[in-house]
Amino acid sequence: MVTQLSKLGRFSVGIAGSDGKIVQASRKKKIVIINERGKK
Amino acid sequence: MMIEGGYTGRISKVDVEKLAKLLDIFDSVVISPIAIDPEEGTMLNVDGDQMAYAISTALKVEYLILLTDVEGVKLNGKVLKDIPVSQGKEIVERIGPGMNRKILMGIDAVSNGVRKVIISSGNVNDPISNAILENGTVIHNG
Repeated sequence: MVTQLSKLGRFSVGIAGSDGKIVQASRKKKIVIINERGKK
Repeated sequence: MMIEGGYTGRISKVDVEKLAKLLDIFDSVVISPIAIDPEEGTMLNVDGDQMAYAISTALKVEYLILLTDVEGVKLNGKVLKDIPVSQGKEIVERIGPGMNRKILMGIDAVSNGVRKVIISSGNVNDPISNAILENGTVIHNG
């Protein structure tokens, strides 16, 4: 994506949200899986 | 970057100051949906839409564009041109899982300072321009 933006003349950078602790999160205790009918 | 499946997180904070500094330097900042748990020091997968929501509301941006594999929110086979926040929850009850979460997030975003949320197709040429032209479904404060 950064390459494509650069080709369009946009001065761009790609980072992960974790870089520099920019995006912080807390770990989910469990994962709920919902199927296409909305059932768990 | 690969993160084990169980390492999934819920976003708790966005550092607006650091992001603003990056945006002062660069025209575009592309951010992959990986966050850090500051307590455990581990990296966590986060939902891409949630990441976009958290960043857009933290920065109070004008538009949040959610690109998807359909033209917009479909109801009875037709793409809805817009969803006023006041009607959002009623529409959500009639929409299938997946898209309903985007709408709820869009309602929250508009209620928290984002002017418009546009759900549009990523499968077209120039999808961002297409979305800014409001080809898709626009969630707004109506």
